Formats: sequence, C-alpha cells, structure tokens
Amino acid sequence: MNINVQNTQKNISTKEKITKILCLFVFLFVLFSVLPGVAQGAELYINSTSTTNGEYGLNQSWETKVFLNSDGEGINAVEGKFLFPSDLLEAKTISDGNSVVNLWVEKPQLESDGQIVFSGITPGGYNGEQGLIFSVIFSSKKEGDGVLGLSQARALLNDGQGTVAPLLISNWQFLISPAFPSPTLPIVEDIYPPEEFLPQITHSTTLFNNQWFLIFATQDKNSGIDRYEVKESKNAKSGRWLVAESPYLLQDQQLKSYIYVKAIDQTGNERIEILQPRTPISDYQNIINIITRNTIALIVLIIVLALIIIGYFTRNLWRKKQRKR
Amino acid sequence: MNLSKSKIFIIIAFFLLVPATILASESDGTILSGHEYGWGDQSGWVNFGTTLGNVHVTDTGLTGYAWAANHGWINLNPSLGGVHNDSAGNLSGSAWGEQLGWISFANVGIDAQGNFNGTATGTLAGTITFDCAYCDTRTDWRPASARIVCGNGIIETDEQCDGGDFGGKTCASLGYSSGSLSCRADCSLNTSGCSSGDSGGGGGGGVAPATTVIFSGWAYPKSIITLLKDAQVAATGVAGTNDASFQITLTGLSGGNYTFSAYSEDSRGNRSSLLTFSVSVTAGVTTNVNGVFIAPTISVDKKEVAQGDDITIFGQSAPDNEITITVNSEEAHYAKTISDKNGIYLYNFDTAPLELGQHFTKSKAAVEDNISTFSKTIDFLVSTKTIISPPAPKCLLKADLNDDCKINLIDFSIAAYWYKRPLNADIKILETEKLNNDGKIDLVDFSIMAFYWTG
Repeated sequence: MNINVQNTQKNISTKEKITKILCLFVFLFVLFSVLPGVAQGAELYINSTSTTNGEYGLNQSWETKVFLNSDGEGINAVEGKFLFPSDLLEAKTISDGNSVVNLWVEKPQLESDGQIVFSGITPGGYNGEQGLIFSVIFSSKKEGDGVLGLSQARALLNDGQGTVAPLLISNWQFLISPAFPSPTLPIVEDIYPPEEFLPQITHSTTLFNNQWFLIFATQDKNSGIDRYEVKESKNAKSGRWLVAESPYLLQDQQLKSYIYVKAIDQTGNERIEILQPRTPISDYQNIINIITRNTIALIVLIIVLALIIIGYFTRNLWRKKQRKR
Repeated sequence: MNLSKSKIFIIIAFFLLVPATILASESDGTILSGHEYGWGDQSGWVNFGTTLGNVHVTDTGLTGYAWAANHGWINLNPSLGGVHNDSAGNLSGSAWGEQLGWISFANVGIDAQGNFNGTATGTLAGTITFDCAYCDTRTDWRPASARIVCGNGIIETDEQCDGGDFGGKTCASLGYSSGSLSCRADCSLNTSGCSSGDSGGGGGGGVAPATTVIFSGWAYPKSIITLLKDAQVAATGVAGTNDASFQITLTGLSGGNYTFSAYSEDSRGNRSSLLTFSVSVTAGVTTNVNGVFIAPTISVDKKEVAQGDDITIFGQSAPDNEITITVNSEEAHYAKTISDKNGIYLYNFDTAPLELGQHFTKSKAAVEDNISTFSKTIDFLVSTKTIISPPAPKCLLKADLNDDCKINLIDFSIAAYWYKRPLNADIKILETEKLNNDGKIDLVDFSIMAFYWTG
C-alpha cells in the first residue's frame, strides 16, 4: 500500500514537534517471556521530551509519552499501570490525543497517587513501531531522582483469541535538581474540535433492564478528549447538559426528545452531534410540554387548584352553617 | 365527597388510557398513537395503546395489556398462553381477559405497513376487529421481509442512499462540478467528495484547505467496501464491475494519526478479513492511500475430507488475480490459480500429501506489483471419511453480543459496562457463548471483539 501526500500548500495546525531525545536511560527487562527462545517481542516504552538528558529543574513541566512497538505483530489490546513517584512529580494533564487506541475500556486516568491505569483496544490491530498510547504532562515538585515505569502491562495479539504477546517494558529514569535549567514547555495550540461521530440509541437485555441507552465515542487528535456531555430535550432550547459516559441510560425512554451529545477536548473545543427524536411528539403534546415546562404556568396552575379546593371547603362549611341555622 | 371520588376515578382513568407511543423500532414495536383501538361486538372498544398497558410487538409475539373499556385488562402474554408472532406478522395463540376469558388471535395478522387485520375471537369477548370504520390498530413493528435495512445496497424509505446505490444522484446532479458521492453509515448522502470547481484558482483568501484522504484499491466486482475510521464506519464505496477497483474520499478530518480499516463482502455474502492500516494525516493536505487491496474471501467444500480425496478451496478476489493458496500443516503446501472475470477462484487441492488431523488454509491475491494481505484462515480435518461443509452461518457468533450481525461500538459498550463488575445471568451466557468463557469480562474479551470487528 502506498501512502503519499499531495498539495502540501498550507498546514494550519501548529503541530506538536517532539524534541529529539538526546539521552535515554533504558532498563530493559522481559515480562511475560512465554517462549524462552523468543528474544524479541512487542514493546511498551516511555519517552519524554527533554532538552536536559532526563535532567529537569525544579517546577519544570515536560511531556512524557507511552508508545507501543508491535514488532511486526498485530496488537489489538493493551493495558497496564503507569507508575511515577508522586512525591517528586505532579501529573498535570493526561491526554489520549492522537492515540492508536481507538476505544478505551479504561481511559488513562489517575487511579491513585503515582498510578495511572489504562486499558483499550485497536480494532483490526496496530502494527507499527511508534504507536502512541497516551501522554502525560508532568511538573517537578522537589529535588530527587526516580523512574517512570510500567507494571502489570499486557499486549494482546490480533488473533481472535486474545493471546498474550511477549512484551518488553522500557522505563525512563530522571533526575530533578535546582541546578538544572527549567525551560517552559511549549504551548501546543489546539484549534480543532474532536472528530465527527455518530451516537447510537439501542437496548439490550444484558444492560439496564432492556431500557434504551445511548452509546458514543470519538477521538481528538490534538489535546485529547476531556469529557462527554449529554442533553435530552423536547425542544432545542431547553434541557440541561449532563456529564456522561457511554453507555448512557436515556432519561426519556419514550424517545421523544432530541438528544445532543457533546465531546469536549482538553482545550475546550467542542463537537456536538444531534439525534432526532425517534417518536416525534405531536403539536398537542408539544404545547402540553411547553406549558408543563413553564415554571410560572405551573405555579399559577397550583395556585388555581389551591383556590378551587379552598373554595370548595369554604362552600361546604358555609352550607353546613346555613343548615345549622 | 362521593362526587370527588368519581372525579378522581375519571382523572386516573384518563391517565391510564392516554395513548402513548413508547419504545419503537421495526423489530420491537409499540402501538402508534391515533391507531390504538380495536372494536369488539361484545367487548366494545379495546385500547392497545395505553401507557400502563405498554404493549410491545416483537418478532416472537405480543406483550403487555390491552384495555377493554367495559371489561378491564386483557393480558397479551399470560403465563399459560400468549399471542405469538412468526416474525412474518402471522399471529397465533391466545390472550387472557380478566373478564373476557381466552381470546384467540389465530386469525389476526400484521401487514407490511404495521396494520393489524383479521379478527380475534373468544367465547365471552365475541369478535374483535382491527380495521373497521372507526377503529384501526397499527404498530411500528414490521415483518422481517418489510424492514428497512441500511446496508443492503437498496434505497428504501427514509434512506438517501445505500451502499453504492445513490438513487441516480451524482455530484453534478446536486449542483457540484465534479467528484464522487459516498454513502454514510446511516444511509445518508455524503457530498464531501464533491467539489464546486474553482480548483487551482487563486485568490480566495482565508478559506482553510480541506483535510482529505483518498483511498483507492481493489475488492471484488460490484462489492460494497466499508471504510472504518478509528474503528467506526466512516464511508462506504462500491467496487467496479470490470476490475473491482474502488475509490473512497474522506474529508472533514482534523489531522493526526488515524487508524483506517476496510472490508468487503463477496457475492456469496462472505466477509473479508479486516484490512487495518495507520495513516498520519496532515491538516490542510490531501493524502492519497493507494493499493488498498482487500484480501480474498475463502471457503472449503468439506469440513472433513478422506485422505487422498480432493478438497475444493474457493472464494472471490478481483478479476484475473493470481491467487496463492497456503495449506499449513507440519509442512506448508502452496498452490496457485487465477481468478476469473468475476473474481471467482477455485482450486481442487489433493489431500494425499497431508497427514491425518486438522489443517488450516488461507489465500492471498496479487496483481502486477500489488499483493493483498492474507484472507481469513479456515480449518478442515483430514481423516478417513468425507463430510460436506454446512452452509456458512448468516452471522458470526463470536463477539456479537446484541445479535445484529455486526461487532461494533454497541457490543463494545455492553461489554465495557460489565468490565470489572460481577456478571448477571444474561451477560454470563453471552460471555460463555461469544467471548472467551472465563466468567469475567476482561481485556481478552475485548481483544476477541477487536479481531472480529466490523464497525
């Protein structure tokens, strides 16, 4: 297959340029060495942008990336724990922007101090040497040395059986000292919203008691997806955005609402996809909805009802008094 | 206060009987608003569309309750009976009315438009009709043969296109000057491959160039190619009749690393293996991905073959391709043949050199300097007897958790919900039958799903 690029007229995006790594302290050890004869295998490795050979000043920020080298095999699933010394470092941002992982079972996130869990799949498998899994922007808090590492990591072959691939793990050693300079991390400009996507409504006997739920997923190629929000609304202006995860149990089980799904990236760019109601509401129902949604109308209605009830009891009391007379 | 009680009753009855259209689909339908009444000569009005009654029409039968104005609820799915559906809309079995006894639906049907017809009968209920002058009962459920199928290559109601069928529309007929249409996964037209001309013109100023990827390659003559972008269907295209070549254009990308996949189906409905590749796309630039060569499909005529007999290995590729067939046993065996003008290839493989036991075969295609990836791998047994292969199942069983013949985000989401949770009885059965049968949902199950992925 040939891939070529035409019309290189203008590149609007300020693409992130990864500074060449000048020096890497690599400690290799083999995990899951199933076959003694296998000297090589897939590899999960860590790479950090640095101009100081793994040496950082105090309060310096830098970006660390976790990559997959599939070593000629198709790898369709990876998981593991990324470990860092939380007394020395603060994980300021965790991003899945530009990841080769298309669907996250567990999106990279802080599970506990110094521990980022991740688990996801690439349908059809990834085959390449530098597949980005996720990236972390660290900030150094105090002087010291340490290692960024991976544990309980697994990479599975795209063979239909989930076979565990032999896996090499490469860690990254660093040193923090006030003697080292603290250059500022270049700001990556992200002007692009997340990718277009198509949310779907479905139901299953295995989930939410067969009630209708919403599924959605997309990617952001730059800063990464921050969160999703969902709004169900019978007319375009009303409704409230709620932070949501897929699968999302729909509140309107009659499917009479417009469903808005918003994907927001880490710099705040948004992509909104809209699903039409499956069961459009009639004009009559629409009027009823507008009335019931109108708080003032509702309050007036309650007052009128209260007046009717009070009037009814007052009339009864008055009649009773009349009879007694 | 007696007056108040009757008012309350009327209010409750009103809310009970407000017709409602609830969960709706062609395979799990409800009763449509405005079309909920049947008429019984002894039972009076029968409302199938009340909110509380929650009537559903599925491929197997009716559930929920109908409300007879003078005789109370009618249970459509009682434990000792039930109204059944043969999925073609021919109803059978009986409902149970609390005051009307058994009511037979053996002479009731649902037509292709979802209309109930015929009569339901019972000793106490008399005859209930569904299509009289003042009554009609209609559902949005449809007989299997009348459903709209996005992806069958035929434009049906509410579809703008389907596969390679654009309903005669072209970029030119839609007002563009050139380019080619494509069809989105939801059977809506994608005009992103059309252009309005003015290409190469100067001026403009301020309009960002589109980020475009153009895929071209070969599949099978007249087959539909499905293109996935980051695991979700992004576009479909259709292969040419003569050379099985195709071209699909994607725009609206933002630039970055993308995982694209492509597959097709041969003339017998067999799906190819998934061809997956990573492309780094630069914003504002057109990227051409050439030589996307969909692997051949492959089948064998026998699942078990007597040693020394021939086994026929066949499938489809592009026309006039050189097909290399590999039979893996202790020693690999290779055979070559040429696909015909329809892309069909067939090779009678002599099993005499093969040992007794299980063997695997796969194929790949070559034309000029282009070579496809390998097809799916299928197995057969060499033994002392011959057993013909059964017809291929309509759908793959593996990883399809919602039985829609696709492995996609829905299946992923169902499995993802149960990740690290104790499984309930339903998902346990699915995990056993369709995943790796270890009683839990973990990364191995997702890896299996990723292998069989269709988007």
